[in-house]
Amino acid sequence: MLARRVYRLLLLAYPADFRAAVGSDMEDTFLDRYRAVRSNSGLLRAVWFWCRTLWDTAASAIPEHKEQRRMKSRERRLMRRTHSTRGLAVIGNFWQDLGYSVRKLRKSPGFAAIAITIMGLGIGANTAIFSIVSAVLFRPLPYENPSNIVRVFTSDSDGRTPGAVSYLDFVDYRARTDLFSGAVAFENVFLSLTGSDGSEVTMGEYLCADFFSVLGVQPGLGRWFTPEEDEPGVSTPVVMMAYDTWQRRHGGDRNIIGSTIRLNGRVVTVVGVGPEGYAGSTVGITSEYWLPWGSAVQIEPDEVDQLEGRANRSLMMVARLAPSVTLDQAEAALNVLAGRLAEEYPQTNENRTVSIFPSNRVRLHPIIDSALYPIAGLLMVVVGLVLLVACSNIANLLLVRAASRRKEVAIRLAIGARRSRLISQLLTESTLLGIIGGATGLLLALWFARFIVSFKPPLPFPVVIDLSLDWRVLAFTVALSVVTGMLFGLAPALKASRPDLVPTLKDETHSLGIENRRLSMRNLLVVSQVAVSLVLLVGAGLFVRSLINSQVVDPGFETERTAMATFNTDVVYDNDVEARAFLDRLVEKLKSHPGVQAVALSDRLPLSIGAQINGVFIEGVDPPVGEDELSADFASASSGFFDTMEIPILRGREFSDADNRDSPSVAIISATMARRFWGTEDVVGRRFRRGNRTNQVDTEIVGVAQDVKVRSLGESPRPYFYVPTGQDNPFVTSVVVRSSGDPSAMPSLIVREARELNGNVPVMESGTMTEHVGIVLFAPRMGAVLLLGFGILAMVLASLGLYGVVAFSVAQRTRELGVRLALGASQSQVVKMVVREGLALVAVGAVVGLGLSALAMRPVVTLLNGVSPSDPATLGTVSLLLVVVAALASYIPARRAARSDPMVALRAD
Amino acid sequence: MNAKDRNPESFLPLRPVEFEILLVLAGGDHHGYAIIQQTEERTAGRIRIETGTLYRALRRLTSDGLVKPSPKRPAPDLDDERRRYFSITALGRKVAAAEASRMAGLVDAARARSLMTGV
Repeated sequence: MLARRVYRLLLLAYPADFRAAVGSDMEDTFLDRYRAVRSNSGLLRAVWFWCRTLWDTAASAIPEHKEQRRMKSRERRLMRRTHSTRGLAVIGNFWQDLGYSVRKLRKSPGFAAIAITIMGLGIGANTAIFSIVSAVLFRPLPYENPSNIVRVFTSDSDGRTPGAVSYLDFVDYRARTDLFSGAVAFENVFLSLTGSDGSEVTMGEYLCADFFSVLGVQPGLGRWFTPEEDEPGVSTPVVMMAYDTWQRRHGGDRNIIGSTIRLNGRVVTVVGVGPEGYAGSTVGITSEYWLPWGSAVQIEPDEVDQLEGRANRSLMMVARLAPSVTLDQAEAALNVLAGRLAEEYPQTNENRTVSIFPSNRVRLHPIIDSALYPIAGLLMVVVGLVLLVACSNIANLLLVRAASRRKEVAIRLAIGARRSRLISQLLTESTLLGIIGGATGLLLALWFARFIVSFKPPLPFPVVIDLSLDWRVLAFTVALSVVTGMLFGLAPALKASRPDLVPTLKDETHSLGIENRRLSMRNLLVVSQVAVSLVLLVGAGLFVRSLINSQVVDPGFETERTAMATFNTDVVYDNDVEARAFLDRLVEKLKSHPGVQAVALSDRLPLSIGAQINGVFIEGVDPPVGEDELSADFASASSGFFDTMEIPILRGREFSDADNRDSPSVAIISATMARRFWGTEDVVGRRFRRGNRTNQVDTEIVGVAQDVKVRSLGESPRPYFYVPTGQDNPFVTSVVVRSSGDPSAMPSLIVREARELNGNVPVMESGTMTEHVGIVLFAPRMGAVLLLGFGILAMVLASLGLYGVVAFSVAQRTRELGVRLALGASQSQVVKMVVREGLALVAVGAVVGLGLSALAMRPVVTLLNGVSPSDPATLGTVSLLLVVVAALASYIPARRAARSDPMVALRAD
Repeated sequence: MNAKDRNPESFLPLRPVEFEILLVLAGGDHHGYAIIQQTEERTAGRIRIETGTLYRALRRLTSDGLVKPSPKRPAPDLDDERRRYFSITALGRKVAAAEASRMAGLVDAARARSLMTGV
């Protein structure tokens, strides 16, 4: 339970022997109370309960420490009279400072609450993002001795881009036992699990039988695989399941070992359960079932082809370096081997090189990782800016307090306190605030990170990010709390501990005409807050604009009345013919439904995640300079596809059922592809070859279709072509239905009909076309939501800061304003004057902020759709918003000042 | 000096949270959570003892000999294995009584000066 873990951390604040005596009792009592609070009341109460608990911990742990220290020093004195050492004096001072700070904060609970809330929000945002980043990028997989584990990749035919390894190459690499003390491979796969109510798609891994023993992962129950189980046909299919799956699907039943489940429609025997917390070899993808190669080829006969072809590169290779072999040596040696393989098998291995990475540097795949780091960096910068605003805000608050405590400080200095002692006292106070704020932030972060992760990315498998607290996140939060506590406390402490003694003691600081430098520092802080929050708001504004742009774009096909479902026939049917028969019967059944106007198939609908690309080779047309070949996105389409999707055919014809394996290869290309590659739309009857450099299919163009959006709604039209489903593999296929009216009932109709035909065929995605198109909006929507949230948070903080500055300056100038009012200035004149001064600060901040955003938005341009980073509408709206909020923040204290009675104001000293 | 021999008066005045704990324990043995609950019920939520404060006070009271961990257990069906129960000692009773009469004295004095008219 999370609450228990957090409270245990809090208990660390108490002295060790106190904890030993009553710690577990306290834990129980706390949990009883927490449960009572949670069951009887809402989230707000729970947050309030946590705040009280934090406070109670500080308020009881500190005196407990002091008491223990007193008792110990008394004991020491009784044992033998001894001088206290310098070190002890410093520690003594620390406890004294801490106790003093607690009392001081207790006396101004309003200030403490605001400061802790601001810190909590700032640190909470940082910890939340960091815990997600850390879970995705930093947390190592739980392998033994991870330092000598490496990941091995074969390059693309370009000789550079690292990619997956084929099974035969892997076997050759593994044979180099002089390099590796062990080498294994795995493959992420979809499995169809048959349960009591139909089948569902789950994620699994095919892997080497010795996978876990090489990597040092111990089974939680049962056994790992035996070497024989790598060989096809030696044993009946066996499987291991993940610990979570065992708990969730089987209630942790220990009799699971030896029982059977159905995967891909075949009976498989469970031989073991993985260790708790282990969810497979790929971060973010939870594997539920693991099967050795020998079992894989039995439940998915197709896998045999996968394993036997050197061109089928789909395995991830993991190896353990032999002692005294370095990564570079291994990479050089494997490249020599790769060269020999290229000579022997030029068809498949020409130009392929090998690259090896330390395992902790590879999260998903080197290519994907290289995209994740900048995103993580961008997010951390954004929340870092929010924290900066929060810190400068609290520095402001502390300056206000310092001003009101000037007399106390002056008296202590006058009676001989050392300045360093005062500074350390003030820093203790700000660090204490930082730490309590950090603890609050940690709690907020737990909710916050869960909220962010609850936006499930639209992928056909569950993405699970383990957000459990680990030492990285804790260390990050503690360091952040202490550093920020110091940071926002240092400047005010330095200022406050150097007051002008005589006028302060004589209470003269409120008199007219004293323009103190503290105010200018406060102004600087406000300007920087406004600037930083403007940068964040501009970013948010641009992302929102870009999102709106995306949503009004016409994708080029019918979305209002169409619906779709995607099936993975691959895992159930052993050959094309059966799979095709299933799909054809499904189409026939759907067509017979009233309300269904048209039905069609495609292996890949436009606006799906990722891309499917083919090389395009045209006689007499050279690829552009710097590129090896022309290429285009493509998909398969059945007869009636263009009619169903309402994509106009501009020239030529649609596909028909006669376009099959036995007839010549044909294609329909997009208008943009025709114009870009041939310079005209009049291309029906022309030919091109599609494929890769070694394997090409001669294809005749039979039609030209109007452009559609292929990868994202924001893209400009791209070359795209269609091939008949009859001339393509039917493995993963989407069924599209156009209904006569509202299509919302269609997805479940398609799934129901499919289940009736064969309950084992897993459904990978189903929904209306509008929902399907929403998939590509996930990333921009997520970006807009996050940036908007952080931008508004920063703006609220900055407005609070401005409010504080104006309120403070008004309070300081009570007398001046009173004089003005007494001399005949009208209330509105005074309000205008004060608001104008507040707005002047905002104007300076806004100008600086706009300049900064021009710089900051440069790297973000590629993520925007149809919006320039200097979009005047966005910049204008955001600046206006900020000015209005700022004007309000200065208007409130200004009005209060103007309404005061001049006589009272004049009497105020 | 052994705590048991100490004069009950020498413990006065008690801290409010200590007196609350003795008040609850005077009615029977209880565990920590029950002490918090009963105090909250008796004062209609005006006094809420927090966990850390409670256990600090309990530890102080125990080392002063006013409270001791209870060997007794309530009826088995009400019992909760993991919990530690506390009971008031004879000295604790005397100290609580002394504190109560000290307070009563204060109340009398307040009444005599008409601070509590209508009460």
